[in-house]
Amino acid sequence: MKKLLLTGLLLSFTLTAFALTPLSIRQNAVTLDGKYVNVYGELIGEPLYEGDGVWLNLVCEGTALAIFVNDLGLLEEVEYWGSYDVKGDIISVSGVFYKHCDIHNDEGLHAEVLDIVKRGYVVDHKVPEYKIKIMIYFFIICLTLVALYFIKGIFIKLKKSVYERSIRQNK
Amino acid sequence: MIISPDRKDIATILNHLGQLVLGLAGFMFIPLCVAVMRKEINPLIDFTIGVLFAIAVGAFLILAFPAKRPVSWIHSFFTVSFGWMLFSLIGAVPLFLSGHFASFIDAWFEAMSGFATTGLTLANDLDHMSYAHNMWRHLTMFIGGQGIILASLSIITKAKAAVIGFYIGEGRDERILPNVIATSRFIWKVSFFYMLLGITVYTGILLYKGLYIERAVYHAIWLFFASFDTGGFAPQSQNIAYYHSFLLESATAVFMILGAMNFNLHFWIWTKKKTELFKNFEIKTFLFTFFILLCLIYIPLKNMAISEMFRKGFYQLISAHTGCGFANIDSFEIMGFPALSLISLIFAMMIGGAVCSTTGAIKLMRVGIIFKTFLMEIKRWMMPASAVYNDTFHHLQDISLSNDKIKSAYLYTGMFVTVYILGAIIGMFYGYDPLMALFESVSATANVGLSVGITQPSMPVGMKILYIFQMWAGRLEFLSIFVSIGLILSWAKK
Repeated sequence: MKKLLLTGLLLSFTLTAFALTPLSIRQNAVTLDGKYVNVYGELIGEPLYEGDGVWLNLVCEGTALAIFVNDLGLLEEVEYWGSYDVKGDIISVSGVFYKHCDIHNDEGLHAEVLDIVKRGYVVDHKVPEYKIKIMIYFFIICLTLVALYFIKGIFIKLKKSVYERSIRQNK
Repeated sequence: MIISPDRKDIATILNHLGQLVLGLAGFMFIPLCVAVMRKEINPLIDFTIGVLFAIAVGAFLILAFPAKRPVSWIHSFFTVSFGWMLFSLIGAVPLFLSGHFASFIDAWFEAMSGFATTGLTLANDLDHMSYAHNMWRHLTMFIGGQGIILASLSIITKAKAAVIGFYIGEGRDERILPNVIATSRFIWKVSFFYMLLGITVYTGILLYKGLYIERAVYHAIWLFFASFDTGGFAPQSQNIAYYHSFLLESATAVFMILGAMNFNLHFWIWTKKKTELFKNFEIKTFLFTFFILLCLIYIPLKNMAISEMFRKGFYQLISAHTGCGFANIDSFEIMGFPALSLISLIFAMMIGGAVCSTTGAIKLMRVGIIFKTFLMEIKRWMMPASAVYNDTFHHLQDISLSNDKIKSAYLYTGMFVTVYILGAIIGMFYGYDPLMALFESVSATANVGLSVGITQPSMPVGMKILYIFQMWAGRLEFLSIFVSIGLILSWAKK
C-alpha cells in the first residue's frame, strides 16, 4: 500500500507541469530539455504554418518562447493576437519543451493543452495632450522660420536692387 | 602646416548640416505616410513632431549660418562626423515619443544603431510597436547603409565637386565611376534592383508562412532593409527566429552576402566580366576566413545534428561575418556557446564585409592585404638579398601591393582593434565577463548587432553612451572623426 501511494505521488509529481515564464524556460533551457512544463504569456503576431501544425509565439516580461501546436483544434478559443493595436490573449500552455526538436529543427514547446487565462482586447491609444501642445509649438516655430526665410530673401533682393540702382546712378 | 577652420568655415559647415537635416525631414515623411495609411494616430503625431522638429533645426541652421565658403575637405569631414550624430539625435525624437524607450538616451541609441546599421536594440515591448515606428527603425538602416550624406547629396546637392570629401568621410574609399555622384546613383540603382527582388522573395515566403498580404509586404520591406543593408533590426522581439522559417533564413543569408559585397564588384559583374566574382581578392578572402572560422565554430559543436549546426553555427557566422546581426537563436543561447565558437564569431565580426559595401568593421580587403604582407615577407626571406620582389592582388584588375596600401591596412586595423579592446576593457570595469564584454564591444564597433545579452534597457547609461560612440566611430572608420577633433583642437588653440 505504501509503495502504491509513493508511486502515485511520484507519478503525479512528474505529470504536474511547472508554471513557468518564457524567460525562466530560456534561462534553464538545458535543464528543462525534454521536460513537461507549463508556460503562460501573451500570444503575439499570428500563427505561422509549418507542415500540419503551426508555430505560436508567446511573450511574457519581454521574452518570447515558441510553441508548436499540432492539434489546430487547440486554437479554436483564441481570438486576439498581440500587435500594435491589440493586446493578445493571455494563454497557458502545457507540453514538452525541446531545446532542439529534430523534426522542426527549432527550439520550442510542443503544446498538448492550451487554455485562455485572460481574454485580449483592442487597445484604444489615446493621444496625450502634451504631444498636441508640442506639435503646435513646433508648427509655430516652423512657420516663423519659414516666414523669416522669405523675409530675408526679400530683404536681400531689395538690398541688391538698391545697390544696382546706386551703381547705375553713379555711371 | 595644419589647416585651422575659422568662423566662416564653421558657418559653412552648420549651413550644410542644416540642409542635410531638411533632407532627413523628407525621409521622415515615409513613416508619416505609413501612419496615415494604417490609421495610427499616435505615431502620426510623433512623426509630425519629428518632421517639424527637423525642419525647425534645419531652417534655423540655414538662416543663422549662411554658407560663406565653397565646400572643401575640412567642411566635408566636419559635416560627415557631426551629420551622423545630428541625424541620430533628431531621428531619435519620434522613437522616444513612441513610448517604447525608457529614456531619450535609449531612443538615441536605437537611432544610432539604425543609422550605423548595427542592429543592437533597446526597444521595450517591440512586439506591440506601431508599423510607422517600425518603418522608421528599418528605414534608418537603409539610409545609413547607403550613406546618409550621400543619400541626401546624390539627390539634392549642387556642390558636386565637394562630394568626394563626403564620400571618403563616410568610410568608403573606392569610387565605382569617375564621378562620385554617378557612383552614389549607381549604388542606389543596385540597391533598388535588389530591393524589388528581395521584397518579392520575402513576401512570398511570409505569405506561405501565413502572414496576411499587407503585413507580409511590410515585414518583407523591413527584413530587406535589415538584411541587404546589414542592419539586423527585425520587427519582432525574437528577431528572425520569430518566423520559424528555414527558407526565410536562407534567403536572408543570400541578401546579407549581397549587401556585404563591394558595390564595385556588383558594378563589374553587372556591366563587365561575370568571372570577376571567382577571381576577386575580397571574395577569396571571405571564403578563406569564413571556412577557417566555420571549422573553429564547429569543433566544439561537433556533437550537434547537422540541421542544428546550420541554424546555430552557419547562420550566426554568416550574420556575424557580413555584419548583419540577424539572430535565429536568442542571446542566452549565444552566451551558452563554447568559448572557441564565441571567439570565432568575434573574429568574424571583427573582419566584416567588403570595402564600399554596407558593412562596418576592418573589412576583407585590409585583412587580405595583411595576410598577403605576411606571405610576402616570408617569400622575401627565402629570396636572395639582392632580389626585388613585390606581390600583387586581383581586385577588378591586378593591383601592386604598395607600401601605401599596406600602411593604410595596418593603420585602420590598428584603430579598429584598439577601439574593440578599449570598449571591452570599459565593459569589464562595469562588471561584465571579459569575453562577453569583448563580444558586445566588437559587435557595436563593427556595426554587427549580435548580442550576448549585455545590450538591454537596464544596462548602465555609461555603457549606452560608450556603444553609441563605438557605433558612430566604427561606421565612419574613425578618419573623419579624428580629423574633425584635430581641426577643433587647432581652432581652439588659435
